[in-house]
Order: sequence, then structure tokens, then C-alpha cells
Amino acid sequence: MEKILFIILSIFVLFAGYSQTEITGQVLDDKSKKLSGATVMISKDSVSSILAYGISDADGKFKVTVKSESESLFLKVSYIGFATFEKTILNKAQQLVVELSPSSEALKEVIVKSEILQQRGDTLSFSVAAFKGKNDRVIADVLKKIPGIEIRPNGGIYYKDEPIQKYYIEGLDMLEGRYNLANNNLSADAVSKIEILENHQPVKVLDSLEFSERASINIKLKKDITFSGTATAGIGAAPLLWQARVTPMVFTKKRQAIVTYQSNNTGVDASGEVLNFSQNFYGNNFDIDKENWVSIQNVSLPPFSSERWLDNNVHLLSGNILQRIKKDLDLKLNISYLNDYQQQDGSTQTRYFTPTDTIDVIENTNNDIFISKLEGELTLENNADKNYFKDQLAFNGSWNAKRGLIDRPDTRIMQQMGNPFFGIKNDLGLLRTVGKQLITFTSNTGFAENNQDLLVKPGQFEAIFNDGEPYEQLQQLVSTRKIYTDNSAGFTKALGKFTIAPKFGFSIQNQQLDTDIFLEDGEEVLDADFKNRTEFVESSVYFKNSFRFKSKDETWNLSLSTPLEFKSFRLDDDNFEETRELDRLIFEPYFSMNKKLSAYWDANASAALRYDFGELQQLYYGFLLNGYRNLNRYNAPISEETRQIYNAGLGYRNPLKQLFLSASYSYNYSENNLLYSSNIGENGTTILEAVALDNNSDNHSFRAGGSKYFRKMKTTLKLNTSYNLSKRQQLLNNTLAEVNTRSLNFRGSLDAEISSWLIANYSGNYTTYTSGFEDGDFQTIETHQHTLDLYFYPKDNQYLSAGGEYYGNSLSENGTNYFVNLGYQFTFEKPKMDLNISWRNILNTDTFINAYNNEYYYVQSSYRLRPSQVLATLKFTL
Amino acid sequence: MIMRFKIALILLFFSFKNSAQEQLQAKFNYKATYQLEYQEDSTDENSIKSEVGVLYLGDGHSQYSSLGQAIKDSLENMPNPEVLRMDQYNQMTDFKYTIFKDYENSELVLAEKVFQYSFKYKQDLNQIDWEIQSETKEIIGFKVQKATGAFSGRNYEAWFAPELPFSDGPYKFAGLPGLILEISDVQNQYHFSLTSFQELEKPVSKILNLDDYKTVSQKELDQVRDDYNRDPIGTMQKAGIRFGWSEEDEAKQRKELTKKYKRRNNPIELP
Repeated sequence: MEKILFIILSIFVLFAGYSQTEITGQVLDDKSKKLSGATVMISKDSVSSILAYGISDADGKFKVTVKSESESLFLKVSYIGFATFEKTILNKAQQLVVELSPSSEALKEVIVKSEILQQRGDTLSFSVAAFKGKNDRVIADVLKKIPGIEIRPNGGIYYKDEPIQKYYIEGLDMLEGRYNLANNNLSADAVSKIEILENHQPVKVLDSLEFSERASINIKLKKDITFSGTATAGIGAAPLLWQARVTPMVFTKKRQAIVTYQSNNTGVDASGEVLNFSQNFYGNNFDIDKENWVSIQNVSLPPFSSERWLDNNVHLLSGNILQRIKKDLDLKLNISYLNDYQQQDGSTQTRYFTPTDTIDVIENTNNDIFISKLEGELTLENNADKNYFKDQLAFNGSWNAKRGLIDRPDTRIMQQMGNPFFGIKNDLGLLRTVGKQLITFTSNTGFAENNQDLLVKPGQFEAIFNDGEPYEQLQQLVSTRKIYTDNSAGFTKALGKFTIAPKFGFSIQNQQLDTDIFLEDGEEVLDADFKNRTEFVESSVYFKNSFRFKSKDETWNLSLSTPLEFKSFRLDDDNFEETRELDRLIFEPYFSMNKKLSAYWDANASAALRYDFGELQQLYYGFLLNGYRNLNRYNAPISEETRQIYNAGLGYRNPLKQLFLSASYSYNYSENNLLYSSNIGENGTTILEAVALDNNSDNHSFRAGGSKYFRKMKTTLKLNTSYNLSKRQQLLNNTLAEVNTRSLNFRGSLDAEISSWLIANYSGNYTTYTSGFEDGDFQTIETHQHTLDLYFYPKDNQYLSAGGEYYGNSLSENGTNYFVNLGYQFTFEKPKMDLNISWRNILNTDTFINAYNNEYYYVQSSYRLRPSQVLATLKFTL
Repeated sequence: MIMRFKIALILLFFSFKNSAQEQLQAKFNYKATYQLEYQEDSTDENSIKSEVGVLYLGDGHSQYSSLGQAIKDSLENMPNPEVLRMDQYNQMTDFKYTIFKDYENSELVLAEKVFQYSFKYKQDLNQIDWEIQSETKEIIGFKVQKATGAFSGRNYEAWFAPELPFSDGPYKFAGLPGLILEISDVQNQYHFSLTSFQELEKPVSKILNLDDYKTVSQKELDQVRDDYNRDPIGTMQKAGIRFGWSEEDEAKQRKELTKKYKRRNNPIELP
């Protein structure tokens, strides 16, 4: 039986037309070591194509089954690093042992030049034509399609989640970080290529010394001379609303310019377009920012978009010019002027709690604010191969005026404030290579002057200024001047895994404060307690060093910085005999660590020690009228605060289950040599003074949160909670009180993609805030907020959004606020335009009512909102 | 107190040293570069994108990744990344995995970092039952022969060069008697073609440390990658990264990313 079957099988094989041959064997090297992965090829002869093949296994064994009629076969065995074995064999089943001999013959090499993606150094070049969609107008629209690029809502450009370093146009950095201007207004049609300069080191001297992980962007234009720009026009009601913006620009090889003019009365913050994203590479201890010494009474601003409450009338003009003087040397000028008129209407009810009493103040507020601001920067930059030089001269001037009317149940108070300010500074940076090290030198010098005055009618603090009798007016004059210089030298050196960058420097700042109070008819208050002739000198010699360590397996990450600084302060006042001095050697270490515990768990901890010393704003001897019902003075030693900060957290992140949990705890403890004393009068007038008395405060805060994505429902659920507990001492109406505050917050949200054209988001927020003295709580306020947003995408070129909001609090009687808003956008293909229609505050809610509390008082406020308004805007390229 | 702190620090440093030692060293002598052209959106024939893939070949093993990923790996493993500044590579890629092939054990490992999570899975190296065809042609100077086979929902046509004795190719493709110089599915939605083949002057040694990568199934890894691509913002937020933008802006940004995500509907391995 078996025999018969065998015969039948043999016949069948013969009938199949081919004979099937099984060739087996083993591949060995010249030392009889088994070679795995050798390719065994069988063909008809040495030139024809391969019929069958095998790959040798871990024992060097192979098996090839060939179907061929040919009498002989050609065997080839190859292995990398060995000469190819070639042999003609008979077409019959056989077992072979192939021994390969080593060979140093190189394999043929080929390189085909790739032309699809252009690369040069670390530069990636993208053709705009390839990325540009039909709806794209400006370069920002194209840029965000490039893989790795992301544009954040404020306009900041990120490449692989890192902010970009520079935004060049034709290799020139005209805008110094104000790149929104170009990005949102340069027509995509004018651009030929976008280049991403990866690991870009903008300072040529640093090129081979300091590795940069960040990228820069270069915009290549189609023509040598390019004119471009965009314009937006919008109109709405009621009352008449307008919104206009025009941004023309011109680029040539050696000169570039962008100008923008914007105006609106729709509550849009016009300064967004000239936001500066640049990062100062030589840090600064001092600045010429404007300081406010006096203010008029404000109402707290609503927590939503300014387009729904800001009553403005703004004009912004900005000009930016770059001139290339010669190779590597650029001169840049950036100037902007902003003019705004804002009106604020609202009312506040404030209740103060003191250990002995409660005091109520009711104020209806009506403010007119006039803002006039000029800012400019002149930059000379030489970026050569062997050295780097940058000098930037900046000035900042403002001429703001405010008028405020306060209606109180029994009286009307007028406030008038003038606030001219001028500041100028020069920042110089020099880098030079010496051997393999880099020497850095920076020098920053500045001057600022402030002349502020506040006029209050009728006069307040009658008991102090007019023996308790009413009087006509009270005026505070403040004049300040400051001058500073900060100079440092340092070098950077890499030592294996560590990089050390010690920096040695000194700084000095001199501030002068002169204040005087006048009564009616220009009568000066001569009492030295109401005058300041203060001179404050801060100087410091510092040695800063930091190093960083990152472990290779990425499970540990540690960093430690150890700055050492010698600070000295000196405070003098002409009217007082005594001089206050303070000299301190301070060491402010900071240590943080991060440990990956397992695939899903990680832990982190950090500790820091900080010292804070008094600023002139909390150092003056004589009383200063900060607001119409606030008199402050700090007739005490220079304040010294030592803070210890500890933080620890634990996270669980499981992407397989899409479950993410985290929890953290932080503790702050600070010691202070001064205690602040508030004396709150019957009508809310507050006298604040500093008293030399050691005290401490502490703060505990806990946070926990989690989120889960439900794949089937395409919905994300998030829940978060936080609890905060703090304790500090305060003198309230001459009684020492320990003020405790506790706050508890819950937040939840649900984001669902209901269908491809509808997305719905809900979020809710609940907070309680309790404050009290040792012997008991006096106030708890609960606030709620619920928001529901729906986004419809009926077509690619259309977009509709609808949102509803609810705000409520437990304190105000009519503390519930409802809002509904609608938005619609349509993109036209020809001519290329975007039409945007928005209808805000559809329910015409006239005020926003809010309540919040602080350590020893609570405030209920209402803010007058913009009425229900419709606005249509059209955006097009020039 | 300070003393104790110092001791703690020293102990920490020691624990690094220990954990950094469990690493494998692999040497590669040859490098093959491929140009990959792929159709991102299966419904849109014009949605062609291209990337460069690099296959490092060594004795008994190989490593394949997109060019972008290759450079990223090297950056992470280099003691002083400065050297790499000279390198003309970039880390921009849609394919963030690295595939390690081990001929001896006939297995491949695909390792990928999805955002900050590291995963890997193992597979049999011989995924395709190749059928050798008699057709031959020449690709940039190499004589190549055709082979056909099916893999993960697509039918492929491969051209291999017998004179390059590597049973390897781009992506997971392997198992032919010679390096695959060109491979494409019959619809031509994924097309790899060799652009260079070089012997490395100095063998490149790479440190393979996949201990930190959590072993999951291919399905799980595909799911996690898909979750990330669908909502990168959400994933980053869940990891504790804060953006500081309004809800409205975030929704807009999300919608844009969703659009992008929906275009990417044509993976090389079909479910």
C-alpha cells in the first residue's frame, strides 16, 4: 500500500512538469564558525535571475527548494565581509558545506542626490507653494502647516514645543521678537520658501561653543524688492463700532520696514500685534518699567475677554526699520505709539473686618482714563565670526491721566491723577572667544523719572489734615528718579557631563523719592511726617554659578544652582537724622530633582531658599497718599524676608488606558522682620504702617487632578481640586491678629467630539474662600462658574461658535450673571477675504456682578459691560 | 544638616552610575538611505509626503528609522552633542519609531516614544512569504530582481540586489537574498527607494537601551500613537504642560489639529 502511494506521488511530481530539488547545507567561515544570515541563491546559470533562495539560520544551516528542469544550477552564497562563494552544481537533492573566506573587497557605494527636501547644514527648506492651501492668506497660515511648527494663540511660534529663537526675513532680524507683525501681515504669495534653522545659534561666536537646541525661522521672499501687507476693516453697532488695521511693509536686500496703524473701539487690546517674544540673553536685575505711586479707585475687571467689557478708543502706530550697514552689522529702529481713551463704570461694596469691628464702604465709581505711550528701541548689532557686539538703547515715555468720580451715600469725591513717566536705558553685550572658552561681558545702565500727582476733592483724612473739619482738597505730589548700572563678566566651560558658567559682577542702583502733600489754596503740609526726601542706594557684588546634570537614561534629572551675592542697602532721608543700612551676604541655593519610577509613575521634589529685601515702594519714612482713602508709610528698618519653599509631587500617566493622575504638595515658610499695621477708619480710610516686629507666615497647598479619555465616546473628562491653607500675622486697628485663610476649589470639564462637525465643551468651577481670626471665621464666599461652548464646522470655509456662561456667588443678592455669545466666520476664495461676524452679549446683560474676599475684607463689585453688539470684520491682503 | 544633604547627593550620583550601565552596544558598518514617498490621506491622491529613512546595517543586526528619528536618538546618546551640529540631519518626522532587526533570533523590535511614553513590541522577523519573480532591472547601478509578497493588508512589489548580501530592507521588510532597494505597495501609497548606500568609514556604534521601554502589543502601541495624534494638546496638558491660552483659542487650535489628524488616515499597516 505504501509503495503504491509512493509511486503515485512520484508520478504526480513528474507530471507537474518541474522537478523539485531540495538543496540543504551549512555556511561556515574559514575557522569553521557557523554563519547565520548568509544569503544562498540558486539560479540557472551565473547570469540569469535567481530562482530560489535561502537564508542561513542560527546554526548556519539553510534549505532551498528549486523548481527547475535545468540539468545544472548555479549556487551563490554571500555574507558581508566574505568573498562570495560561487559554484555550478547538479540539479539534484544534495547537502553542501560552504566555507567562505574573508575578503576585504568593498561593496559598491552610491549616493543619489536627493532633491525633494532641501537640506543645508541644519537648515530645512520648505517651498511655500507646496504647503499653501487655497484659504491661506498670510505667512502664519502656511507656517502652521509645516510639521513641527505650532503657533500659540498669542502668536508665539513654537518648533517641537520650544519657542523659536529668531524670526528672520531674508536673513535679517528686524523685528527683535515682535514677529507677529510680519507673521500675521506678510502675504503668503510674496514668500518663496520658509527655512527652519534647527539648532540655530544666532550668535556666530557661540556657534561651535554653545549647542543650541532651539530653532529659528527664515522667510525667503520671491523678489529682491517686495511690497506686501494686510488690511482689516470692521464695522458694527450699537453704538457705532469700528475696527481698522493696515500693515504695509517693504523688503529689500539691505533695508526692511514694516509699519502698522490700528484703531478700534471694540474692546480689542491693540498691543498684541507688537508683543515682543524676544528673550534677553544677558539677564537684567533692574529695569525702567513704570512704577505707580498713586492711583485712583478702580473696580475689579471681569474675568472674560476684554471685547465684552473694555470701553476703549485706541490708536496704535508702530514703525520698524532695519538697515544693513555692512556685512554682519545692522542698525535697527523700532518705535510704537499708543493712544487710548477708556471709560470704566461700576460700583463696589467693601466690608472690612477688624478684631473689634466691621466697617462698610459703598462706592459708585466712574473713571476716565487717558493713555498716551511712546516706546522705542535703537539697536546696533555686529554678529561676526570671532566676536559679538550688541548695543540697545531703549526709551519709554508715557503721559497718562486719569479722572475718577466716586459717589458715596453721603458724598461725592473727585480724583484727578497725572502720571507722566520717562525712562531710558542702554544694554550692552559683548562676547569674545579666548581659546576654547567664551568670555561674556554685559553692561546695563538706565535712568527713569516719574512725576505723579493725585488731587482729591473734597479733602479726606480730616482728623489728620484739618483738625476734623471738612476741607476742600488734598493733593499728593510724588517725584522719583532712579539710575542704575549692572555690569558682569563671565565665562562658559563644559566639563564632561557638566557645564559650568560662573558669572561675576556688580550692580548699583540709586533711587530718590520726593513727596509733598498740599491742601487747599496750595497750602503745604510742613510736618516732616508727610514728606519724603529719601535716597535709597542698593549695591551688590555677586558671584553666580549654576550647573546641571542630566542622566543618560533619562530617569533622573537633577539641577542645582548656587548663587552667592553680597548686597548692601543704604536709606537716607533729609528730614530724619537716622540712616538705615543693611549689609548681607546671601546664598540662595535651589535644588530640584525628577525621577521616573516606572513606565507610568514619576516623582519630583524641589527645595529653595530665597531672600527678599525691601524695595523703595515699601521703605519710605513719611506718609504718602496712595489713593483717596489710603495713607501709607514704612517708618521702620529695611524689610528682610527669608523664604523656604518645598515642593513634592507624584504623577501617574497611563496612555494605554488614557488615564492621567497627579498630586502635589507644597509648603512655604517665611520669616519677616516687619509687621504691617492697618488702621481702618469709619469711612474706609486706611492708614498703613510698618512696625519692626519679627513674625512669620506659612502656607500649605495641596493639588490633585485626573483625566480620562473615553475612546468610544470621544470624550475627555477632567477633574481637579486644590486646597490652600495660610496663616500670617497682621496688626488691624492696633490689635495683633492672626489671619487664617482657607480656600477650596473644584474644577471639572467635559470635552466631547459629538460628530465631525460639532464639538461641545463644558466646564464648571466651584470655589469657597474662608478667612478668619484665631477665634473664628468671619466670612465664607462661594463662587460658581459654568460654561458651555459649541463649535460647528458645517463646511471647510465656515465656522460657527455659540457659547453660554453662568457666574454666581453666595454673597451678592443679585449675584447671578448669564451670557450668550455667537461667532461666525466665512472665507471667500475670490477675492481672498475672511469675513467674521460676531454677536456678543446677546442677552444684553448690563453689569457683571462679582464677589471676592481677602484676608480681612470682602468686596462685592459690579462692572458695567458693553451692551449687546454685532461686529462684522473683513480681512484681506494688500 | 548640610553634611547629611551632601551625603544624600553623593548617594544620588552613585545610583546614576549603576543605572546607566545596563546598555547594549551595537556596531554598524553600512548605511542605506531611502526616500519614502507616501500618501497621507487615502482619499486624496495629491496628499503625497516624503521623508528620508536610514537603515544601519551591522553584523547580524540592523536598525531602521526615519532620518529625523535617527538623529534624535544619536543626540540623546551622545555625551557631547556639539559634534552633531555638523551633521546634516534633522529630527522632523512623522515616523517616530526605530526598528531593530536581529537576524540570529529572527525577530524585530519596534521601539517608539509617544510624547514622553516609551513603548516597544517584538515581532517575528519573517512577516512576508516572498515569491521571487524572474523580472530584473537596474537601480542606480545595482542589478535588482523582483519579489512579491503581502504584508498587513497591502500587496508589495520589492526589488532586491543580490550583490548586497543583506537580507534586509526599509521598515519591517526583510527576508530576501539581498538588500531591498525599492519597495512599494501595488497602489503605490507607500514607496521606498534607495538614494544612497555607503560603507561607514568608522563603524557607528549605537547604544541600544530598550529597558526603559515598556513592552506592549502592537495594537496597544498603535492605539496610543493614534490617541496622541488625535489630541496632542490634551496629551501634553495631561502631562502637566500649561499653555496659558483661552478656552476659545484652545478649541480652535484643537480643531486645526483634528483636521490634520483626519488627513493622516493611511497608515502603512492597515488594520
